[in-house]
Amino acid sequence: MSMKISYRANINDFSNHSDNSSLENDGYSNDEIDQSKDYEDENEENEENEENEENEESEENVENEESEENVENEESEENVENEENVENESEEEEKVENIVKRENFHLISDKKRRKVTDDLTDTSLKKKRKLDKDLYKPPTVDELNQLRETENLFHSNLFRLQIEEMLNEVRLKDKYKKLFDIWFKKLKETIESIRETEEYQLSDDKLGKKLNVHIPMFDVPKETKGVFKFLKPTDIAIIGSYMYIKKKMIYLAYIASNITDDITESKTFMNDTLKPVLKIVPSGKLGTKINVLIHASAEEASFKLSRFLPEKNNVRPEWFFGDIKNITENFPPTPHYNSIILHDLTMKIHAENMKVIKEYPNLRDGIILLKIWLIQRELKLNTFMSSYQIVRNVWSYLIQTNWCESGITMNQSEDSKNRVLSYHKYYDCVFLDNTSYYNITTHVSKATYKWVQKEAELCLSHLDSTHANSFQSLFMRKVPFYMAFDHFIRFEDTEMLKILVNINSSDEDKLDYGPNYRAQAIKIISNILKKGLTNRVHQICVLPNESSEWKYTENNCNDIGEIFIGLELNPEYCFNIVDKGPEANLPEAIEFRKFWGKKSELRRFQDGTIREAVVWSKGKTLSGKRLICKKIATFLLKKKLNLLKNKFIYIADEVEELLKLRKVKITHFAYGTGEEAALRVINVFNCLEKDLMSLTDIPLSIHGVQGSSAVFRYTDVFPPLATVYRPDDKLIKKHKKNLILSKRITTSPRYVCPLDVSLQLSTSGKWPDELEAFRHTKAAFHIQIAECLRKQYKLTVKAHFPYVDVYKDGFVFRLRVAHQKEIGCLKHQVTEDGVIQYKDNEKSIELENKLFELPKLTSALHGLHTQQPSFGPTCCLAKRWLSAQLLDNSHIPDVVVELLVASMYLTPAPYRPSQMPQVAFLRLLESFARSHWNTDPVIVNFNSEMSKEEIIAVETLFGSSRDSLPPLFISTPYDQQRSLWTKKAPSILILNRITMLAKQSLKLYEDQLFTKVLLDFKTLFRPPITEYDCLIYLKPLMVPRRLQAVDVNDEEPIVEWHPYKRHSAQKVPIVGFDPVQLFLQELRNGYDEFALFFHDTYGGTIIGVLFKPSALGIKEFKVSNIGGRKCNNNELVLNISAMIQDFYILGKGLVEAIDVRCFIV
Amino acid sequence: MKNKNESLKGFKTLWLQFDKETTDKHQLFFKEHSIRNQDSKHPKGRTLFLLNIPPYISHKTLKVIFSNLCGTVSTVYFITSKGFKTAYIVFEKESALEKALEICDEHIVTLNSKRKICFTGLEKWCFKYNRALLCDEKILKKKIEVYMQNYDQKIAEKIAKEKAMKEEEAENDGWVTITGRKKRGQFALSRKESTINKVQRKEEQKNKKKQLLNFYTFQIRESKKQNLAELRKKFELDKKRLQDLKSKRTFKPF
Repeated sequence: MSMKISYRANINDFSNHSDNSSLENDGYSNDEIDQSKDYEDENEENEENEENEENEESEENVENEESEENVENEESEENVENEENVENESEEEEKVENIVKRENFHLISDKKRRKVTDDLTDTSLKKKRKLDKDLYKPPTVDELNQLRETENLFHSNLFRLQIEEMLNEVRLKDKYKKLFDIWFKKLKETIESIRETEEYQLSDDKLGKKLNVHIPMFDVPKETKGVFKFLKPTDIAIIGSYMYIKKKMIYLAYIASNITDDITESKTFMNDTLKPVLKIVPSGKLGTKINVLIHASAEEASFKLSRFLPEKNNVRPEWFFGDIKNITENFPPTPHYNSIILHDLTMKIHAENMKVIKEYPNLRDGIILLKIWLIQRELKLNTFMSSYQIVRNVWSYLIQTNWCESGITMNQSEDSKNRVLSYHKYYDCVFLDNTSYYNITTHVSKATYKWVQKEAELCLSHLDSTHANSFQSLFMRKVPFYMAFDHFIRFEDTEMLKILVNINSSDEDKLDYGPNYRAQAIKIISNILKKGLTNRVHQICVLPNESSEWKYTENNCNDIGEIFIGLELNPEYCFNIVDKGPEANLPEAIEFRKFWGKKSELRRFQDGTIREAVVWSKGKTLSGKRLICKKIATFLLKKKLNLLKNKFIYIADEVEELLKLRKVKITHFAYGTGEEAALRVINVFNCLEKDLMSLTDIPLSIHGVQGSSAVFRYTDVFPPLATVYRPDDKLIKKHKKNLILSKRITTSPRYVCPLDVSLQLSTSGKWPDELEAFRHTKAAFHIQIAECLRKQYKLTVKAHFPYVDVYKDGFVFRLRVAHQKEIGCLKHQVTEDGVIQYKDNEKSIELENKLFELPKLTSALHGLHTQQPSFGPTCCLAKRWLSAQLLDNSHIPDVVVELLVASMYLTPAPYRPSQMPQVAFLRLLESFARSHWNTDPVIVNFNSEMSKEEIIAVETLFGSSRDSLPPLFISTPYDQQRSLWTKKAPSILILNRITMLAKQSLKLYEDQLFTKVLLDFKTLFRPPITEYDCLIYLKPLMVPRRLQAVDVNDEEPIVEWHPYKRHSAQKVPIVGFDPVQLFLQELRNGYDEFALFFHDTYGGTIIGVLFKPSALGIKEFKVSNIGGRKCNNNELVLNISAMIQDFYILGKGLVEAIDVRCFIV
Repeated sequence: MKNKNESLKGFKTLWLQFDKETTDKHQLFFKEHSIRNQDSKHPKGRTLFLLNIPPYISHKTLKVIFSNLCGTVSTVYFITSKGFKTAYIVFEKESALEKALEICDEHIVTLNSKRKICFTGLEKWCFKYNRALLCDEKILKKKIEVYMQNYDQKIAEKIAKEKAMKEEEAENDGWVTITGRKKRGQFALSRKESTINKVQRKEEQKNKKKQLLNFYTFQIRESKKQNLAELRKKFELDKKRLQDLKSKRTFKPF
């Protein structure tokens, strides 16, 4: 429903656009933006009101505030810890409307505009002098500093401005700070006024009932003997073991129940049950901006810190397991448990560190930036760190150091350095705090740390790259987990995971992690995967758990949560079909065989060795090879952990289903997703190239052969297949030397796509100067080439005036002679005073693109595919998706789609190039949904052929004359500032449509991923058809590519094609004959002015028609308005009924029915 | 009647029906071609100006329609190639035009009644496909040869003519014009836009070389000023760009 509305709105925009080109901008600002503007305006008003109110308030409270500060100092001694300084930057979601700033910008832009017009008109000197004053006035010190600072400290002006803008958005405004202070005082009073209670048994439920609070407890130690007594904060006795944690929870629960509702909006617990935090949302306005987290912690002096060194044991096994067997043994160390308590103990010290940070605004800004960066990457980490440089330094620091092998410490003493070493035995990463007891990164696994490191590396390289607009991809763009990796495994069943842990986890781990099932499950699963996948994966990462929250009165039973694992494949090894094990006679072979079981077998390899090996695939198709890791993972989970296929969801290649040919089979050929078919075409083409280059009997030899069809760049959605074409007398007849169509065909013959090839001849000065004569000479060459190919290589060839068709090894190649002179002839013009000009015009550009530019681009994209083998199938998926949404080549040219995909591969930030087409396709949808085309040019810098200066030139051009450039601007090294491929299409209307559809599709995908158990990604490829005015249904049998449709009837029989075999009487088949395309061409040619036509090129049997609102309605009687209309009372109205009749007439024999949905008369 | 004609700016109308079965018709508008500067292509008194011709109607079909309706048509010119077309129809006789102008406003022309004159859809596409194939290579070759022979002849004649002109000139008065040798014959610079531009650019560069840039103190001062202005300008430009970005996306990272 919503789709329809917005689409209509866009159509209205379109009418403006077509009437007046200067309105293009208006057409672009779609409804969304308008709405948001309104919204902002409202906000501004509110804000002003608020500010007035607030001033009054704050005046009243001035006195209070002073005393408040004193209290704050004392407060840190208490157990209630307020993490305001650290947490609020990320916790608060605030809206900042910087009114003053915006006004400034308005002024500036006004001035700017004046300048520009002055420069252009250059009328009066007076004005110019005034302008000069503005630009040339003596600089103030401040200004000079600012300008210089920008030059030296920041990447570029733009980068700095963007950072400032974002920080402004995120920073807490002063007025809220004041409000918070007041509120905080109240809170403290309430906490302090809580009565002390009597003593309760820890195992007792009474307290919870009395308070109406569900205490977030776990039931591991069954019997607990501790006592709990609520005392005034500052003294609470603590005993070892999990007792402490339990007490802490009860303590928090008690506070929660005692905080009165008049100051809080909601009270929830956060984190896991081991480290509970009470989250309080203040009531009133403040609540939307600030959340307060209450940590309960013990006084530093309660324990000796050394008690919690990692090698110490603090959890007695008998408490946990309930038996006394191994009581004499050395107790296993419990490093993770220890660190939980250390965390609490050292909190106060950290809080003091925070105060240092507070004093340096730049440092603070840097931390904010880092936090944003982490959150956008869905990473959560307890890191403690001019803002740009800080961020940069931290990144480079992250890359250089390795906490896994050489940990770091904030304490300078020798002692602590030694301790670092000992800590490495127990923790993955080591980062000690000032006390050098607490390891801040206890809960950071090696994988997560590596992940952060990799992201940092990526960002730094991106920051250093010449691409100017790195800001967006660094800070503003979300990097969703499901787009950041190649393969994904998702476990939903928490009960199953608990069982898994109980069976597979070691006793030490159980003791150490306690009831933290999640960490144990992750450890088990990722260890197994890592062992089995070895070098096939770069990293195995787990999506950090959303810190769970639950109401303080509710029970929180689900503490594992879903486990979502991402695998980043290593392209060097991930497609190997064999896992080579050790040589059979070595002792390691036994272990290898033990791990893989029956899968392992002895094999002799080419180097003569006999080894244990596991074979995963026959390796016939690339699509099969992409799934080898899935096969391995599924095998491991089943054999090692007894997890059957239905217990988890593996996401890797589901969308690729759309590229498979389900209803066509060729004997002895595995089609897969079409890459092998494309490869075959290219091999045959290479042979043809050799043949052509060695032709002897032509006046000018051929010295260049270039292909330009999609298949030569691996981007043909359904590449042609080598097969035999025979006359059947019903559809196809033999006529002399050719195959021709019968008079009355009832079914369309198979579609054979001609493969375009352009030929370069050796140079000659004898080409005629006149266009027609040139073309005749060219045709003579075509005939000559055809004759030679027949004579010299016995090929089946047919020459036509504009081209030669060659049927070789089952494919039809269409050759054309390419010569610059033809384009010269088309450009040739003579002005009135006899000067000869060469000017681009539509025809010359079209020919030049076809014969010269496209082949160049084809070889560049071909090169890209050989470097990134997922490029081709990604393009295919993108084209398939667009087409399925009824947007075809005429709306957005195929080449444009390919260039967009290429730009994604060449500037992948914030991602790494993906090995899986599915992930790359999702990223493309994301970039469609972002629709950044109006603000950024797309630069496709093949092999970095464009220099920095050239890129800047393109960007400046884009900035200065945006309005006169096409709505989508793509620059490649070959066309630089011309954006050759987007001149005609896509229009703004189509771009907006694509954006909207991409958003919908992504939403569908996410829904599927996170809610449904059965994945059906085909829904992404089913178009909404309710929004068209009129639907033309085609006869399915007349649609030659019907078997490529998204939904082919299951009952449709599978068609068997014969593999190509040379036959002496073979003819060039019926080639390039697609009635649907011919029909569409005629429709668009004839009715473009009144309506838009939408169709799925790949087997669509529906054509959607949308009348343009500008064409509807009554028009004045004018010669220019007469077309397509009829006269009614001296005015003109659109003759829609006759037009729809025309659709029948034009598509006679093809159209089955026309359904008029919305009749507008 | 007259009144109506005026309101339609002098246009008359007729209805066009595809065949007997179709119910909806297109309305064609026409009037006598009358523009002040006449040209020989559209002679006065014999040319009809026709508007709103449906896209599927070709030259041939139009010729047949009006030949049947009024009298022999000599040529048809389409002005537009896309959408609903506009055409000039030139009759052989003036009487045919008069007849055309007398057509009743509600007259209906049926395209495919007794004889099929307009092919569309599958039939047309198949026919076109086959026709393109049936052209034999040998015939095509011959055609090309003939064309090229004519072309060569034409060029040869042209060259001969130019030569003759020159000689004639020389003989006429007994005077011979003397010009620089270099620029004669095939080595002469052609009057191309690109070459003219090139010469101009060279000239400009020459002039530039003659100037000294950092000779006077005011020049150095100026260049410093210029540098600062450049920096400011860039800053402003970036600010503007940021403003654009802001209008598109807010700077809220989450």
